Amino acid sequence: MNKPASLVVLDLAILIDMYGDDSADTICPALSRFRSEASKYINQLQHAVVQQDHAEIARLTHSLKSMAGLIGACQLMEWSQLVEQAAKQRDQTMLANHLPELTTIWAALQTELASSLLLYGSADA
Amino acid sequence: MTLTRNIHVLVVDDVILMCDFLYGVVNKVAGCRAIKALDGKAAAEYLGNERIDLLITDIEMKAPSGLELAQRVRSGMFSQTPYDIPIIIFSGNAYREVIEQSIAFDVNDFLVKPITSAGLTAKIQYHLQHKKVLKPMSHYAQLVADVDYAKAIELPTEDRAFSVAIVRELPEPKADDVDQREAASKAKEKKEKKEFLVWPEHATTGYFQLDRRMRNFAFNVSCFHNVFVENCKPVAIESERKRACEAADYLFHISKNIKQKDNRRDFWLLFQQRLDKLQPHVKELNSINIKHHSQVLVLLKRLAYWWMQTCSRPLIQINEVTHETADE
Repeated sequence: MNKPASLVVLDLAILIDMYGDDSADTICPALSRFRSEASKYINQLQHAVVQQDHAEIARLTHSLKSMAGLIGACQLMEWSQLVEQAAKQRDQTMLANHLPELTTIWAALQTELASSLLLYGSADA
Repeated sequence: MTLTRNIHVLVVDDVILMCDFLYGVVNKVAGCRAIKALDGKAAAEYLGNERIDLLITDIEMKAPSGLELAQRVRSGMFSQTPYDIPIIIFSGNAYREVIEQSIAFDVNDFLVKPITSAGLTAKIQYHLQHKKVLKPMSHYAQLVADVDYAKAIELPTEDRAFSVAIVRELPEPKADDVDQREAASKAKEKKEKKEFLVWPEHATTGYFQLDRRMRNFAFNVSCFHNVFVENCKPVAIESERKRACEAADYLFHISKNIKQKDNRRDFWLLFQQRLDKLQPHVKELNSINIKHHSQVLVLLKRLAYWWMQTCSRPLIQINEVTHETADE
């Protein structure tokens, strides 16, 4: 399995492939919607981590993985996959190793999302 | 063939972004009208109150799950929706139990995320035009009613093994001392930095022959990547390109051979999907003009993404028995 940090942050070629459309009318709403939805999941995830609620961590990272895979957020997808598995197996060591990475991954992704939205002329950048 | 009827397609996913994606894809299919539900409960209401012609559902949702919806449809529990409609279910994880249940309830298709718009469209069109032969409704109702069966079909819990995997991990070797472990760790890091595609250490598909071909494929694609990004002579790049394509062909060939002789249907269902996704990339690798730098980089990204997807399925627990066949 690749380390999340070794993957690209956001690969728009994947998003285009997934949606089968490379127009700004498709890309911008998908990225904006993702940013808004993922933020909610990440907030909930941080709460679940504090509560040490493994089932909730697994559920949230499973959803994040789907969303990230849909728009080509490779690092976040890989990270979610690792954390989902660790949570399902209640692997505290693995969780302790990977959970702190989220801050960096999410910050990098937000930057990429903003620049991509700007590139495609979205007012939402 | 054009679909002329107004076909009602119910899409179910508890992730709004994914649900909207499915909704958009379905509405673009000629003759289809999508209805979306964000959980199993809402989906059950639609199935009970409206005539649905096709169900597309995620599995992992709060009760009822996608699989429970499929079971209820096949058992004829919804008054407005026929029991024999096509059902397509999908998931980011593919557990053996879930696949077995899908087969038991004659689900028409089991898709593993990520699902592309084009791929899903093709599946929808196919299943609307090809009727699956089903057993009588009473058969499925009996399956649901059977308590033993119900116990056997529980979704995996934290304590149970991840039983289906494209890749599973074997026990870590025990190093004799700390120095050895550190040295191994440094060597591993060095190797990972150098290689474009990395086969995880101690991972196996359950078939040593397949592992070998996967490793070989990763190695050769990595070599191609390295000579390309290091801007080596065209002859060297061409040579590595040829080797990478050959490695892919070997992988396809060995997979076909093992698949014919083995009955791990759930594994091959998933692995074949991965190979099908690899085919167009290999075809492109074989024909791409290496002077078109950006196109090659995009292709390499796609190969890396394919690799990441293929090597990141849920891992089986260490204490699982590996299934190995000897066909070489």
